[in-house]
Amino acid sequence: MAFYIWLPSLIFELMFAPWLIVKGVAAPNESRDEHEEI
Amino acid sequence: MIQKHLLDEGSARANRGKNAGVTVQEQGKMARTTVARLGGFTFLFYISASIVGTNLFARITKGDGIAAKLANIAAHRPQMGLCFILTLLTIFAALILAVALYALTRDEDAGLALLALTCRVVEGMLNAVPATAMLALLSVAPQASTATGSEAAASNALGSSLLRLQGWSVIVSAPVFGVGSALYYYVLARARSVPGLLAYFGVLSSVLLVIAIPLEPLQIVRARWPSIYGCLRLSSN
Repeated sequence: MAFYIWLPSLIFELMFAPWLIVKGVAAPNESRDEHEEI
Repeated sequence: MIQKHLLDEGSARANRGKNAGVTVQEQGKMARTTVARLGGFTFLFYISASIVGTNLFARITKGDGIAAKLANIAAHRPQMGLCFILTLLTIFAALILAVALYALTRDEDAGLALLALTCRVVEGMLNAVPATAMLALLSVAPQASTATGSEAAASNALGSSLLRLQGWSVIVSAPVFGVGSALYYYVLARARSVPGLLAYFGVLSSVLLVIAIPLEPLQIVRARWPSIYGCLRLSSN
């Protein structure tokens, strides 16, 4: 039971960690500027 | 927009040291990339250390009855020491993640980021509870295997409590971890720093932990409810 509760969090972290390593995190103003330009 | 960008770039240009010709904005971006990478690798390390440590601990503490479990621990002291070191490392992983995610979210909402940082620091501190229990088990297990009579009974009772403490500490630390994580991912989603779908999946998975983990002890109560209810009825009659 406990494993299935942790599973979504584990899957998310396994997706989020490579995202952080490869893509990084855009600064809030940077991402908004990009959005405004579009 | 372009004019403003050029003005900012011109005014922010640093002309000193090894960063000559690099704007403050670029320096900030480089720092964010480094922090994000540190966070990513720490996530992976935290997951690996937790999975390896939990599986190793489960193997070491196998046995029919508490006496057999303590005998198994006494026979696997180096492995128990490795479990302790892995748990100790998860404390530092939690603290590094707390600071890294705070650095990535504080520009969007300093208040929520600070609350999330506090939750993740408390999570790191709560990781010290199972680590201390492991040290206590390393001390109790050899004594339990050689003790007789009332001393053996006392060692077994203490060992049983220390083993249960592992599970109890997870019940306390998981909701704290969940609240901290949910706040971080919510701020990241709001800042559009990462794709919204990914960030909100993180929020939902963290909220699930906050709701479901504290309910587990209640499920034990519910499972035992017929017998408790029967005892209450007998006592009232």
